[in-house]
Amino acid sequence: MIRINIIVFCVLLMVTGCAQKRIIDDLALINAIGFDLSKEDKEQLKVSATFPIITKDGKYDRKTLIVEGKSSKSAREKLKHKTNMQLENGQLRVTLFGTELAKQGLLPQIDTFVRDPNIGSRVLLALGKPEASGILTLEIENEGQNATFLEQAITKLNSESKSINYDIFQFLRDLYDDGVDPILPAYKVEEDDLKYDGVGLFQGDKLIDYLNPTDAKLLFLFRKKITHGELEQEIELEEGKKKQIMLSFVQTKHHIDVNSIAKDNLVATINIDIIGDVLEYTGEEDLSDPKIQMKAEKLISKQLNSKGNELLLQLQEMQVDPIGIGQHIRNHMKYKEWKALDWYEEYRKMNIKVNTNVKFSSNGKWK
Amino acid sequence: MKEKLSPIQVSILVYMIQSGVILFALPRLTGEAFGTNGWISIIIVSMIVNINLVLIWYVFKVADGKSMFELLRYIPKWIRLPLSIFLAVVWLTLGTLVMVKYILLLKLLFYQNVSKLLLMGMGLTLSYLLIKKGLYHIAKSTVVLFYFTVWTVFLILYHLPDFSFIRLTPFIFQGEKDLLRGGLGIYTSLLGYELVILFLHNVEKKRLKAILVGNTITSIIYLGVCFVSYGFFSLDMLLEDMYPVVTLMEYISFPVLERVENLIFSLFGLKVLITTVMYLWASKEVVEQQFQQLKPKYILFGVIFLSFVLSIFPKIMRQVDQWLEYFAWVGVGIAFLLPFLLLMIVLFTKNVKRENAT
Repeated sequence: MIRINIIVFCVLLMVTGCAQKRIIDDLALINAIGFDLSKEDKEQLKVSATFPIITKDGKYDRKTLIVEGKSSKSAREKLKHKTNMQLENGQLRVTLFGTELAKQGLLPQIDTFVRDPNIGSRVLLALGKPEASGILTLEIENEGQNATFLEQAITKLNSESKSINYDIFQFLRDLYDDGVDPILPAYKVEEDDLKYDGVGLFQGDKLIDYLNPTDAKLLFLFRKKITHGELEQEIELEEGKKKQIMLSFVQTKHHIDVNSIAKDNLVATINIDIIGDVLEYTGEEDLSDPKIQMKAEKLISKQLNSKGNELLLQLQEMQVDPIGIGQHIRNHMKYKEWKALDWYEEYRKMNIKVNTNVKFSSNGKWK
Repeated sequence: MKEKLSPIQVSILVYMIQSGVILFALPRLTGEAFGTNGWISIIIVSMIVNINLVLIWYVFKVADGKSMFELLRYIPKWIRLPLSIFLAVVWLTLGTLVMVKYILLLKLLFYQNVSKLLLMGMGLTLSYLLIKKGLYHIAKSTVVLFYFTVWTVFLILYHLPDFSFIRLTPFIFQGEKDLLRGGLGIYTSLLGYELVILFLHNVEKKRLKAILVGNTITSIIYLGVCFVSYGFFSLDMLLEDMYPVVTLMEYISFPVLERVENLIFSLFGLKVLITTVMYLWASKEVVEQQFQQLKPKYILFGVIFLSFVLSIFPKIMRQVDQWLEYFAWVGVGIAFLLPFLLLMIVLFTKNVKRENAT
């Protein structure tokens, strides 16, 4: 009996070899894919895919193919005709969307990424300004794979801010949440280099507008609690003398308060406490003096508040809610009230205030 | 069945029979059935299961150590025969479908080109080897497989940084609901506990505690997974995702390892294996008791063969889901009615005995 068991075991073990074979040299492991609207036919997508190859003289290189098709998978069929290798999606790391396409809505394109089990939910998403294909076809000096470059850049951005929607899962989570809108980082080509260029603001799955990197940084500050960050401001301790100051900070408090004075008079306050060490100050004042420190703290807080309020007004005007004020309003209300509420209209009208409180933990190791 | 089972073995066995493929879809099912914060429903459903378990325990308490088959012998053969065949068929089908469902999922996720029957053959070979040895050995291997798989639960801690209470919302059971059918669906996710009716008389001591602990382990794990899912996904996304727990596993990435769902999903096969093994074993036991003239070896062959043949028919996920749903309903019916029937028999025979004595 034992002998039979051993035989059965061996047979079963060998049978596993009958599964499909994939020889790595014959695979085109797509590591980045870009989607744009076709210029000729607005119904069509322009899909660019890039994958690493080994050239004839043994060098590690990449190949970028561009085809047009009705959908991601139909374009993939056409991609197959353009290469001698077997296309594989399993190593996909980055997906880029062009501005025009993003304005029409991303859900139809993202569908295939969540439906196809080969593609993980950790594929990074970003926007390409103005077109994704431009970014993927760009040859950067001394930089092999654009996909790897983008992957590292987006991951770095996330680790700095902790509040960007940077992969499929996070994007969809905020997309389907009725109280918050997703944001995606944007990249553009500048002087033959790839450059981070702020974030794209979405309402649902449609891109509304971009924020520049400075405003985006402010947005990150309000969006979620950042454990560690850097803040640079221009302050005027002495009148007429604008000087630069830079803090390395920790956010000790991030809280959004909601008050409803009346049913159609909602007020939200974003309370933020920041404690930071001064790492740079270009002025001549003695920052070790507690009085000057307090003055500087007040100035920075005030500036952050006014900039924050401006940014929020801008967001309210665009009717995008990347901070997630809606989540707090929703949790403040009864279910039926929330469902009956025309949220974006209410959001545009409501009063949102920023209340930041900056404190210096130290003035660094110089007076 | 000479050796008696220890309470810990029984607890683990109950957990391993209960936890099955439905877990992968469970967070979505709770959302579809109960709306916002549907994870709470697991507590309610688990309580009902506990009541059912107490009922089963009570039967054996008053039956003074008699087994289910000994009790069934009191009813006339023309009722007993169809009842036995009915039980055997339902349990055989449930065991088979659970495995087929797992295999179809495995095919969808990882092995698109591998034949379903090949995987089924592998699963049934393992089942055969286990069932052949009898319940005591199944229980012993279950304990080993339990330690093989139970650690995966702690991977849920990995999702806590992305967990947010604000996504849970303060609304309880609001929005679109499908209480009856959906609720029953959630109930079937805990199904499997009813098999204790076959071996509870054979447990050393602390019978009630053992089975309740088993169900509690399952419920806590289900509750934990669902709770984390509700704060990890937003509700509407949860409702869109066919298998949220697969996505949950997909999201785990270690510094040197990504897409660990490949590993964990395959490990999960061991739990499915025990579920199938126990259902097929139950089916075999019922037939064996009914047709004692047949050799147990042939019965086991027959059960495995029938299970294999049965697995040929459902070819697509839709069919399997539908069959599984219907048969799970029947399973729920059995879970409640069978102990009732046994209780009636016990009380009736006791009365008769008392009357005879007086």
